[in-house]
Amino acid sequence: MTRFKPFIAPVLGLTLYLAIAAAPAVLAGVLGALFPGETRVLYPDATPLELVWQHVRLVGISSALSVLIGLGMGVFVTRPAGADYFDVVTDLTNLGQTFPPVAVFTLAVPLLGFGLEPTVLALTLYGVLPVLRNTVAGLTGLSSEVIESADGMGMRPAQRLLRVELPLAAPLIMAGVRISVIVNVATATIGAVANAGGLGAPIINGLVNLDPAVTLEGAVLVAGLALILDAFLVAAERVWDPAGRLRAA
Amino acid sequence: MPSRAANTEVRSARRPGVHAVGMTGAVLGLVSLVALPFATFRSSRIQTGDDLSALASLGPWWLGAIAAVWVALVVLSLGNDRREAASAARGLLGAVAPLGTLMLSAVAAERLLADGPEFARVSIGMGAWACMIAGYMVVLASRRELADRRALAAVLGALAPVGIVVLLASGTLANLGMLKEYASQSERFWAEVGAHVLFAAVSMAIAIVAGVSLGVLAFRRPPLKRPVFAVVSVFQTIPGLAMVGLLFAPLSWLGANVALFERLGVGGLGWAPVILALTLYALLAVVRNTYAGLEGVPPATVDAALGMGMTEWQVMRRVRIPLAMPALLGGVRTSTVQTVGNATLGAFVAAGTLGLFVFGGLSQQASDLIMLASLAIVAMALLADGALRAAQRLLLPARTSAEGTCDR
Repeated sequence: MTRFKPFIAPVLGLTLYLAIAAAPAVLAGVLGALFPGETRVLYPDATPLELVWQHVRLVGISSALSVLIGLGMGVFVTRPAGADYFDVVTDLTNLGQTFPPVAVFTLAVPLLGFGLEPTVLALTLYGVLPVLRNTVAGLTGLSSEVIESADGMGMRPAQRLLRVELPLAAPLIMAGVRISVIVNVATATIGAVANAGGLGAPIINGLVNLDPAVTLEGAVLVAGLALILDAFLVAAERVWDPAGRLRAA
Repeated sequence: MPSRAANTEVRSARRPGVHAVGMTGAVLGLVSLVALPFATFRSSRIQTGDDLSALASLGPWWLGAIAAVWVALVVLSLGNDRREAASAARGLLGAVAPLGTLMLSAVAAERLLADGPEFARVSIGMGAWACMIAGYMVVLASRRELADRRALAAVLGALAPVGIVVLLASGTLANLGMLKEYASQSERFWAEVGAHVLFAAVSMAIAIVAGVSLGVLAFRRPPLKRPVFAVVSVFQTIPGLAMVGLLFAPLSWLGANVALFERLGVGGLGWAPVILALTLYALLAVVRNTYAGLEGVPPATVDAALGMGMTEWQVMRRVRIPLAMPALLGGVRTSTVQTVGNATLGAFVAAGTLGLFVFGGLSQQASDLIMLASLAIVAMALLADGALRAAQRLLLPARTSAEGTCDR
């Protein structure tokens, strides 16, 4: 059970967060007390919980796709079958990471359209890069002794990948997943401009109408979401670390 | 690393099978020409567009010409010939493909505008973008294959970017919607580029001073390492727009209640939230890389410096920091690229920047305007990245070449 100890704090944080998001009356009370002169304290078009759900859905779908694609491509280019693509994929990820995520998102909108699906696709596209980069780094950074001993034990290539290479590369891959998710949370905030909803909507709405309370509602909720997700992924990196011990040895 | 082993085999040789990257690029190019819209036609700048196929926008002859480039690449990729001439020829075709596609987009625009309404716009379509990416992918592969021939590789790599600049400067592309947007508001465009650069530069200057100081502090006072890193990571984890939102109320209060801040123009809107948010966001990479750089200095070097009679502070200033420079500059580069992107946030707090065009375009659904400003931001990020890379190389010639050779 001690294995899951790193998760205790993030779970408590998440519980508190959801409790706050689920109680608009409390939120309105606090914001009203902070800004006594304001008539509008909460975003009118959706409840806090609905906004959180829209944001989580946006980030969840795109991050899941990013991880699948990034991991898949990373594994592919480090196998003999995909070796020819290794250099070009490395160059393209390096180049792609020089593109600001906001610009990738806004470039995608005219091509893919407005709304939820195009936003998900744009987020996915950028999110692939950190996962792919770290997967490649994790898989190519393994010492040749580890690979040779796995081969010496008579493992088939697929077995070696699943039971030796990926577990050893897991912490680095998880670090890539974390970067990808956090960038996605931030970029999805901008998604409100493309009618994708989410927690960016109250921030932008509040800034445009000079409503400090509405802005703060969105800002606090999205900052909290980012910090909690980050804490969960850091905990996952720690738990998922048989390799850390192996490497240290 | 299996791939490396494969790539360092005798370079100048034919290998079995097809040239994978060349063939993939060529097939991708041909498929994009056939299956994806080559151009988008709008009867005015904010109308939803009609997607047009390559045949409809180019006509048979021009379509044939660009398809011929891809077919030639297919032929050149049939044998896995890695000899210099073959690699160079593939790279050349790869560079010609995006330039040709761009020129043909202009041709398509001219054709389509000739019998369209007065305010009609033609934009580059998905298929054309895909062709350009496919072509550049082949260029990247050739550059790697020609790594021994530095000059040739550099020329191949520069061909497409330089070509694009030439096409832009010569007015060949003037019929494209993006450039019409530019032509109609070029003065405002450059003003916002100026604001964008200014915000990014000022924030980076502050972030470098503060970040290096914090990195040195964390290194010199180990108990402070954890809190310093915890705080700067939180700054980077919070989305930029949320940071601007969080700063809105406190900065408005400061601007309204403290005379000095009021005179400086501090407020929830304007320059203050942008500079503050960008600076805080940029800290992490600078602090982290400063720390890593300082930590990476060999103990023997430090001992030697101490043995020469230097004080701790002299060692820091004259030995550790100079030796940490490559890592430090790497952090500055990462942060700068992020900052160039995040400066778009200025648009939300009435501070301008290219974000004004991007998000203004998004709310009007004016695709060409969004494209123009987004590509300008990308270009700025690439330029900043390239300039800082060059600075790294210039400052540390010996070091970079050493790094180049240990290409595992």
